[in-house]
Amino acid sequence: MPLLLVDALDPPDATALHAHLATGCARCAAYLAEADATLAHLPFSLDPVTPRPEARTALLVRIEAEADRPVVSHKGAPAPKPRTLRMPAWVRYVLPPAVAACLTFVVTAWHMVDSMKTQRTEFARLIGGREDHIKVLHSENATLAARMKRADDDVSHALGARKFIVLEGQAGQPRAFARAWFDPKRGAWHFRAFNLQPLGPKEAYELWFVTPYGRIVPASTFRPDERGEAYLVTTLPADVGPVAAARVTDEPSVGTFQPTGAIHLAGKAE
Amino acid sequence: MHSSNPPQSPPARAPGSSGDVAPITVVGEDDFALLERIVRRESAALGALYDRHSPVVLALCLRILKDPGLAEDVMVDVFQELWAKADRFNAGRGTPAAYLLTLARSRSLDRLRSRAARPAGPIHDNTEAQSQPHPAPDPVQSAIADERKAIVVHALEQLDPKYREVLECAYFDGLSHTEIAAKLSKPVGTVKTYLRRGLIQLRDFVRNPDEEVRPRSDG
Repeated sequence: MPLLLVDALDPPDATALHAHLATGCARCAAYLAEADATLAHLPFSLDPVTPRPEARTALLVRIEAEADRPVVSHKGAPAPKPRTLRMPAWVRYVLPPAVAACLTFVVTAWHMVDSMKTQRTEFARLIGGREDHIKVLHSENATLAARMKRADDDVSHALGARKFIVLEGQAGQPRAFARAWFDPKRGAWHFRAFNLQPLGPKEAYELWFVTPYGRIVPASTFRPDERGEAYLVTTLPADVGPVAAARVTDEPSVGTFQPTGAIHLAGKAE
Repeated sequence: MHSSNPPQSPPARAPGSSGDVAPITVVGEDDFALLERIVRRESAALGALYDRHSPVVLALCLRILKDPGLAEDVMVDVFQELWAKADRFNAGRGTPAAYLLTLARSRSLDRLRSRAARPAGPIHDNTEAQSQPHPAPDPVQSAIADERKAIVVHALEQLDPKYREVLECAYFDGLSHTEIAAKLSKPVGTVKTYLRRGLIQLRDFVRNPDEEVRPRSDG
C-alpha cells in the first residue's frame, strides 16, 4: 500500500490502489479510513469563518426546491416515495424539442399564411391592373377597327380616284405624312393626314393645291385630333383646272389666301 | 475542556475511524442523529448541522479557493449535496463532520482545478466575512470548537515542519506526489515518506491530545 491520500497519488498509483481496494482488502480500507479521519482534523486548525446569512437562506431555498426528490435510507429501507408531479425522464427529454418543433411549425405556418395573404392582395391588384389594361386595349381595338374601316373607305375611294397625291413630312415634322385623292363621283378632294404635331389655340394647318402653272389655291384649314390625325373633304373652284401638287402650312386659324407659314407636308400628284 | 453532558451513542464505527481519536463530546443532538433526520428529509436537521459546521466548512473552502464568494458558493453546494446524498453516508468510514469536510475539500479542489487558468484572488479580499469569529449561539458548542481547534493546532505545531508542509500541500492544495516533489524540490520517494510519517505523527498527536496539549486536571 503506497499511501494514504488517495487523491495525492499520481494516476498510475491511484489506479492500482483502486484496483486493490476493489478486491475487498479490509486492512487497506481501514487504513485509508483512518487516514481520512486523521486528515479531517486539519480544517479544524483553521480560523472558523462565519458565512453570510444569505448563504443559509440560499441553502434552505435550494433544498426546498428538491423537497420532492425521492430518497433511500442508508439503512436500506426505502423511504416513502413522495407524491410528485415530476414527468418521466423520456418525457423531459422529448418534450422540449417537441415543443420547439411545434412552435417552429406554428411560426412558419403563420408566416406562410401571412405571405399568402400578401401575395393574394398583390395578385388582386395585378389582376385589377390587367383588367383595366384590357379595357384600354378593347377601346384601342375599337378605335383601330374604326380606323381600318375608314382606311378601307379611303382605299376604295383611292382606287377610283383619278388623282392621288402622297404628302411627306418636311423638316419640322419628319414623322408626319398625308394622302390626298380626288373623288370624281363627288367632284371633291379627300385629304387624310397622320402624325401632325398639335398647334397653338389661334393657329391651324391649311391645305393648298398647286396647279401645273404654279397657281396656289387654298383648299381648307384644319386642326388635327389628339392623335395628330385629320380628315377633310373639300372642293376646288371650277376654274382651277388640273392639280399638280399639294402642301400643308401652318397659318392663323382664320386662314389666308397665300401661304405665309412653314411647310409641314408636301407632295406631287401621281 | 469537556462538557458535563453525557455523550450520546453514535452508530457503530469501524476500527481506526475517527471514533478512536480525540473524544469530542457533542452537546444536544449529535451529528449522526441529525444525519438520520436529514435522510428523512427534515430540513431543520440540515439547518442545525449547517449552524454547527458551516464555519469550519467555509474556512476549509476559503483556505483552498482563496476567494470568499466562491468559497461560500462551494460551501452551500456541499450542504446541498449532503442533503441530496445523505443516504450514501457510511458511518463505518467516519463521522458526519469528516464526511462533510471530505466533500468540501473535494468540491473545492474540483472548483480550483476548473478555474486553474485564472489567478486566485488574495485571501483577505473579503475581510468582513473572514475576520468574524463564528458566533456560536451555544457557549458549550463554542467551547468544544475551541478545544478541538486547540488540539489540532497543537498537534500541527508538534508535527515536524517538513511533514506538515507536505501534508498541507497534499490536503489544502490538492497536489499529487509528483507536484509536491516539484514544488518542494524533493524526490518523489521522499515526499511519499514525509506524507506517511506526517500522517502517523498527526494521528498520534490528535489521538492523545491531553498528554501533549495540557495535562488532565482531574487525573
